[in-house]
Amino acid sequence: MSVFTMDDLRTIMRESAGECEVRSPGIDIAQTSYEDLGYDSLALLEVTARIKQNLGVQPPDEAIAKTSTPAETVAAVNELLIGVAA
Amino acid sequence: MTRALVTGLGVVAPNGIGVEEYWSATLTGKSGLRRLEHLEPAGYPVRVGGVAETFVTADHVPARLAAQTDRWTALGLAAAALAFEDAGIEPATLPEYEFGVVTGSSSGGNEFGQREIERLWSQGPAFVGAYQSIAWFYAATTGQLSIRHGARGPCGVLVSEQAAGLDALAEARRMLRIGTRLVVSGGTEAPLSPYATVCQLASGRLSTVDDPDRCYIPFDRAASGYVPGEGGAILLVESEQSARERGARWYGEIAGYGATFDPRPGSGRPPGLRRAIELALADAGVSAADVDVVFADAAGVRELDRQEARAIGEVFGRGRVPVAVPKTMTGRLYAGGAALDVAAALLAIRDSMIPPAVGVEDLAADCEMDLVLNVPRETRVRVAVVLARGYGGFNAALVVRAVA
Repeated sequence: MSVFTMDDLRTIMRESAGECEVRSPGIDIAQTSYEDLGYDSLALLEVTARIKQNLGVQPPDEAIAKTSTPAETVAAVNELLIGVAA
Repeated sequence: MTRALVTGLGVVAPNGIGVEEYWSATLTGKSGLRRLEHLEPAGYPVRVGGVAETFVTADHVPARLAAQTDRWTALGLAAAALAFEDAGIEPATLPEYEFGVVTGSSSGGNEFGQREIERLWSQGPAFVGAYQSIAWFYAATTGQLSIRHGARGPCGVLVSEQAAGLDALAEARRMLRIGTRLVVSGGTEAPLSPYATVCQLASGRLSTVDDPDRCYIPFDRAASGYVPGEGGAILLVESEQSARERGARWYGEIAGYGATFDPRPGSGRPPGLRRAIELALADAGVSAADVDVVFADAAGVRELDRQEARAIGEVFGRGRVPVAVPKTMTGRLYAGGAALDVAAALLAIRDSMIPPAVGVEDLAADCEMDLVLNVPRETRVRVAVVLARGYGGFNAALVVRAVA
């Protein structure tokens, strides 16, 4: 199974919760908190649902919900995928 | 007691976006009624509606919010932004706990809901988007406005169909009396999606006439019902003290309000509209003779038109007060429609100009009134009354007045 990337996350976010509002060129979106990006807890609920559907994994509800930046979410998803592969 | 001044107007209507575009279209009789092409060739009996076809969500609402909300909320967010611009207020500068939101809504987010219900049927529960939980809900527009502009004062939503636009503005006025400085109020509606249309058909009040010029002709002998329209108005209701402190200009004040509920069918008792008007006049401390124009509810249903004409005649004297029905150019926008009528009433005060009704050709004998027809009437307007009736028995009347 392929590795889950920041681009994969961005696509899911855009489709389910809309493009983030941050437009400053200097900012590292991956390390910025969801709160600062304008996303709420429902956005992470959406991401959890899409990951279940797209990747066929069954993450526990809090596995993704507890992440607070895109980088943390990508890492959490990859950990889940490794768990599935192993 | 503090006066409730209206210091900002934001309009998104089928015949114009922004106050000036809407108002100049309205004064020149430009209609926003169109064939509802998205419902054809399916067999919906309603063929015409008021379509805000120049409204592009992306022009007014950030992509993130557009994805998370129904069109009705997008219309509300756009109208609110226009209202703040009109008032010259930067919302972030307002004290957050003295800053509230109350809107009217009659049906919530039908289009968003339809899409998610289709996912439920065709793909299963796991495919229903998380935002359905908030996007359909009547309070969604109030909630999104509150979050977007940082309003942490009193917030609420009124659900009383067309009357809700007036009920919300009256609630905004009450909020000022408990110390709130400014309230974002009014309402918008998006009733043209297939699911929303089907919900409205149940009332039996929609016109099935397919000619945009003839489908909605209230008070006419040939009245055949009404057509729905989308959009509405957001009004900034501000305490007089706050407005004076910041040297603001204002359109007028919300001076009086009355609301009643119709008796149960078959009771033999009269409808409640007349009482609502009388309560509103008493609340404003004005007499019927002081009123320069009445913006009618104008259901377009013969019996309801007759009842309204009778109520106006009984309170003001038959043919004694000019009657305005600019909604003949937009259709009925439900909660958004009553709010839009209040905006039009305030613009009538500003410009000494009563907007016309269009399409009415043969006033019914039992609806005799001084209906301003086809061309605007130039006359001094200091006090205006706006009427709204909501399906199910809601009646509301609001008095707006010029303030020096």
